[in-house]
Parts: sequence; structure tokens; C-alpha cells
Amino acid sequence: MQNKSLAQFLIGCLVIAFAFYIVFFGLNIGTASIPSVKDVIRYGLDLKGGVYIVYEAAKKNPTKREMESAVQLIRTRLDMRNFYDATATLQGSKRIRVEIPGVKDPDEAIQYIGRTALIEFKGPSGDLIVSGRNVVDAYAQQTTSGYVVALKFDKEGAKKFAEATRKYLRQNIGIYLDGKLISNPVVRAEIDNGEAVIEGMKDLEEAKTLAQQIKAGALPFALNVIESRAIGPSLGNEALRTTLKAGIIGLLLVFLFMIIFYRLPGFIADIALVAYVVILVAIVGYAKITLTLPGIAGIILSAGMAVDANILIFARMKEELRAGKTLKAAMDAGFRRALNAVIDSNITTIIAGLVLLFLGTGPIKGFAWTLTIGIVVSFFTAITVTRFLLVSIINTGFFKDIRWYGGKKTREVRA
Amino acid sequence: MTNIDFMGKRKYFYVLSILVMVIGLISYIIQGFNYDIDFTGGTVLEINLHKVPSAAEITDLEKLTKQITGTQTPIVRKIEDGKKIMINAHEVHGKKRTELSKETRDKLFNAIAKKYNLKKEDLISYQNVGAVVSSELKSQAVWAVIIASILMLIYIAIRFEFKFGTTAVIALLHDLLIMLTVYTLFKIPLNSTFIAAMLTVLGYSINDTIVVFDRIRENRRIQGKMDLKDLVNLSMNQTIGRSLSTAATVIIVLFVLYLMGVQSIKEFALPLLIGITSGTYSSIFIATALWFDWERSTRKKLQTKPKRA
Repeated sequence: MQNKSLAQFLIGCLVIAFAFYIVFFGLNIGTASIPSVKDVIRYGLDLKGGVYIVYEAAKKNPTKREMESAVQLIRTRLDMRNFYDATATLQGSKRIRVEIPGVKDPDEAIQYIGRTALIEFKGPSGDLIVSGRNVVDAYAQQTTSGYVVALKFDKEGAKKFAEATRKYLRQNIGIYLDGKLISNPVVRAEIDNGEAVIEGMKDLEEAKTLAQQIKAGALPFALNVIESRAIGPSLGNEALRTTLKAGIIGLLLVFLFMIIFYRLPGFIADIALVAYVVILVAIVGYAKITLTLPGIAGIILSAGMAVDANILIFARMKEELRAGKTLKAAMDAGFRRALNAVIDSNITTIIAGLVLLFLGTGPIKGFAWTLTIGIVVSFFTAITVTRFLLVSIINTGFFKDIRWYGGKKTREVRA
Repeated sequence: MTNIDFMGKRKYFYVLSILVMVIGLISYIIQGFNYDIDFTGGTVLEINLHKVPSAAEITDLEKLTKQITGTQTPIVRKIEDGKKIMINAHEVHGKKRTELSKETRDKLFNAIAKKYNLKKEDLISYQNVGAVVSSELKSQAVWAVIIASILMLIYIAIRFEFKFGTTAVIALLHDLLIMLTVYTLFKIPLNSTFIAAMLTVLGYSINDTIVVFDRIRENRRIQGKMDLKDLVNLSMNQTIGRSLSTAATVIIVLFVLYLMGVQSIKEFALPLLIGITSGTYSSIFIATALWFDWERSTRKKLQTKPKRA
């Protein structure tokens, strides 16, 4: 029994140590490998520097599809500029948040994401044939007849365009950008497959620009910049470093505090706290939750709450021991009677975390994520890991003196 | 176990809390809040001066900012090690405040750069926030507090009883008012980080209150015949050690974060420190005391009613 318990305890500690090693240093066995969390973690802009821009649709109630195509459009443009790290995400019903790491000047970024213009194809008499919303794709091409812009319409656009080319054969179809004529090609043949070519570009550059402009016109509304922030990369680095350092020092102080006030159970709680940090960091890292500065704060804060549950249990245990219960009975009672308070207090915090998650934006969301996940994980480790290790160590029978549990009198307690 | 008569002294703490809140209200009426750019709209520039500016230099910088941007009351403050500054400014177009245009921003930075011999990289960061975002943030914050409070109230009312839920939520609002008091009194910039901190305090402070209430609920079952005041005092004495320990662990971590962190972390740690300290205090002296008074008054009514009849 005693040897078995000791083995149980040691195996428990080993599992946690092993998990700690894998998460923080990675693992390579033959072809299989688990990357260390620091290689996969996705840092927010506040930790690595960069630019973020929030766009708002200049239209009252844009549909979800319209907004999604706007996001797609911005992504295409970012890719065109090789900003593969950049992200564009919908925020609410009419905003798009663009994050570009490593860039210093938002104005420059706004320049190359470009403003969205209205593209229209008009007949000779000025009648509207199709607008940019029917354009699926536009790209520059070099053909035997020089540089051209190839266009692809969607179904509706193809139909309308076919009708127009039949009607205006050998006449001009004007291409207007924000009401300004930018190209006025002559229709040579009826086009019914939804693919058109604009000829007469001076060079590749001109063709590219026009293709881009037309693609930009694929949106039926303009996007306005309503917020933009730039964070220097050095600031981000420094923020990460000092916050991590502060977090580690803070955690070490909590470790000490627990050992001083709760002795052996406090030490066990510290091991459980390590398990908590490992699990939480693993979730944030491997599930690709963007880690922001407030996010780290959320982790550290929920670590404080993780020991909170244990303190509740141990304080209860101490009381039961004082009342003369056996060690095992005191522990069982401690866990059982503290559970209600632990559950209730955790759920109320989760309520706040979830409200924050749904109402918050940007960095606040990052904080809400880590806080909410943190509470769930801390609840789990405080109840299961602590209990498992504590039962094992009590059963080894090495620690019978009540002083190991924060009691004052030297009294042998029955295991 | 301690043996303190918490309930006997509850009137002093009511007075203390009301006093702090009155001070807050007066301060609010006189000087309002120091709203950060998150709430007012405008531009914040963070500049590395490589030296600690004197008070006179700060005033000069404010004058310069006012001259170039037209901001009526620009704010320049030292951050972190004191060698860096933060400038809050905006442009005024008619009645509307807007962020600085690129030209104005460049003009301002170049003027400062010339004075302090700075390079381009010394403009560490800048942020533009539109007025739309700002007003939404404010209403978002208020909604978040209202929704979170109602949900918590409902949860506690179901798990405990309505009186516990209501007094717990009153204690929470008390903590928010204390936080706001500190902010208006010391003119600490109020920004979106504050909202996150506020909601964290909301979620965290209720922990302590629930632990005390949980103990009252349990003791009431075991020691049903006990006098209400003794019962509450007993429950508080049983949980006070634990309340202080848990507050201590969180405050230790926050304090280290505050001492070591960069500006944005400091801005987060400070309101949390205030809020969690206030939360520990209010769960002991406000929430439980209010519940005690309420419970006692309803019991008295129950006792006096039959006599009248």
C-alpha cells in the first residue's frame, strides 16, 4: 500500500514533468515530432509589433456575404504584397480588422490595401450594363496583341454582359472607376462565357493597376478606416519579456506563499499549479489562440484563481483536522465541503469571462479567452491533480505529523 | 480561529464606503474623468526621448502639441522609465474631434525630433481611434457590466437565494464605484483596458463573497437555532483567513506585474489591484453586512406581524 502510493505519487509528478518538457521544449521521436509551444504560439500585435486597421463598411446594413467578400478582397491584396502573416477578420456585422505584423506605418498599409472604388461597365448611351459586384476575377495578361486585363463575371454578370455585347457589337463599352472613364474598349464579338478581355494597355504595370482597380470594384460599398494603431517591434519584444519575467516571479512568490502557509498540501498545490500552466499554455499554443498582453495577464490571473480553489480546500482541511478528524477523513471533508463554494465562485467568474468574450473586441477578447479557459483548467487541476497527489502522499504514511498540514500542535494523526 | 465581531462594527464600514464614494462623486463633478483616447477619439503617440524630461519640458511639449495640432488640452505624460512620453492629441473639425492626419502627425513628431535630436525609430508607436469606436466602447462597457451583473445575480439567486444575489451584486457595484473614485481622484487615464479590468474584478470579487455566503448557508443548516448575528460572525471568522490568503496570492502577482510591466500591463494591473483589494474588503464588510441587515429586518417583520394580528 505504502510503496504503491509512493509510486503513484512519483508517477504523477513524472507525468507532469514530462508534459512540461514536451510543451516547452518539444519532442522528436523518429519521424513523429511535437513542436514546442513557443514555436507554434501565435502572438498578438502588441507582443510582436505591427499595424492594425479597423475598416467599417460605408453602407448601412451590409449582408454577411458582402462582408465576407470584402475580407477576401483584403486578404488577396495582402497576399499580393507578400504579407502572408497578415490577418483580416470580420468584427461584428460591418467591420473588418486587419492585422499586419512587422509593418511600422499604418498609412502605408492603408495605401496598399487600397481604398475600394466603384467599377461600372456602361454602354455608349451611358446605360449601366454590369457593376463591379458581378466581377469574380480580374488579372493582367500578356498576349500576342499586347498587354490586356482578363475579366471573369459571375453568372448574372455573364448573362448581362452577353446581352450587352450582342447589342453593342462594334461599339464601345466604357469602364468607369468612381464615375471616371478609365478604359473604352470596342466590342469585337459577342461574349457569352462570362470572360472578357480589355485590350490596349501601355505596359504590364498599367494592366496590373487596372486589374487591381477592377477587383477593388468587386465591392458594392466603400470601406472607411475608423481606427489604426502601430506598435513598434521593440516595444512588443520588451512587453513580452518583462511580462513573462513578472509572471514567473509572481508565480514563484505564490509557490512560496502556498508552502509557507499550507505546508505539504501547499507544495502539492504548487505541483498542480505547474500542471495548470502546462495545460493552459498547451491549449493556447496548439489551438492557435492569439496571445496578447492582456491574454498573458489573464493566464497569470487565473493562476491566482487556481490556487484559490486549493486554499479553500486546505483551509477546510485544517479546520477538520483541528476538530479531531483523521487525516484522510479531513481531506475528504475538505474537498467535499469546499466543492460547492469552488463551483459557485468559478461559475460566476466564467459568466464575467463569457460576457467579456462576446462583447469585447481585439485585445480584450484575448484576455477573455485565456481567463475563461484558465478558470476551467484551474478548476480541473485544483480538484483532480491536487487530490490525486495528496491522496497518494498521505497513503505513503511518511507525513503523519499535523505540522505538515499547517497545524500548530505536534500531534500524530491517524492516516 | 479569530473571534472578531464583524457585524457589530458594520456601521463604521458603511460610513467609510459612503465617504469614499462621496469623495469620488465630488471629484467627478469637479474634474471628471481623464478619458484616454479610447474614449475620446484622437491620436496617441509614444515617443522615446532617451532622457527624462523636466516638468518645464513637459509643459513646453504640451504647448508645442497645442500649437501644431490645435488640441485645446493636449496631455503629455512620462511612461515606464520616464524617458519615454505619451502624447494625447486630436484635431478639431467644427464640432468633431478626429485623429491627427499623417501630415500633422509628422509635423508634430519632426518638431519634437528636432528638439531632442531623435531618429525615426524613436516614434515607438501611435494609435488613431475614431470617435465612433470610442462611443461604442463606452456603451459596450456599460452593457457588459449590466449583463454580467444580471447573469451573476440570477445564478446566485438560483444557487443561494435572492437576498444573497442582490447584496453580492451591490457589493460588486460598490467595487466598481471605488475603482472609478480612484480614477477620477488621481486623474488616471480611463481606457479600454480599464473595461477588461473592471469585468475581471466583477468576476473575481464575487468569489470572496460567495465563499462567505456559502459558509453562512452551511452554518445555518447545522446551527439553525443560533442568533443571526453570532451565525454571521462565526461564518466570517471561519472564512477570513482564507479570504485574505486568496486575495494575497492574486495581489502578489498583480503587484509584481505592476512594478515590472510595460505601460499597457501597468494600466491593466493598477485597476485590478484597486478593484481586488476593494473586492476583498467589500465581500467582508459590505456584502455580508447588507445581507445581515436585510435578513434581520425581514425576520423582525415575521416576528412582529403575528403580534399585531
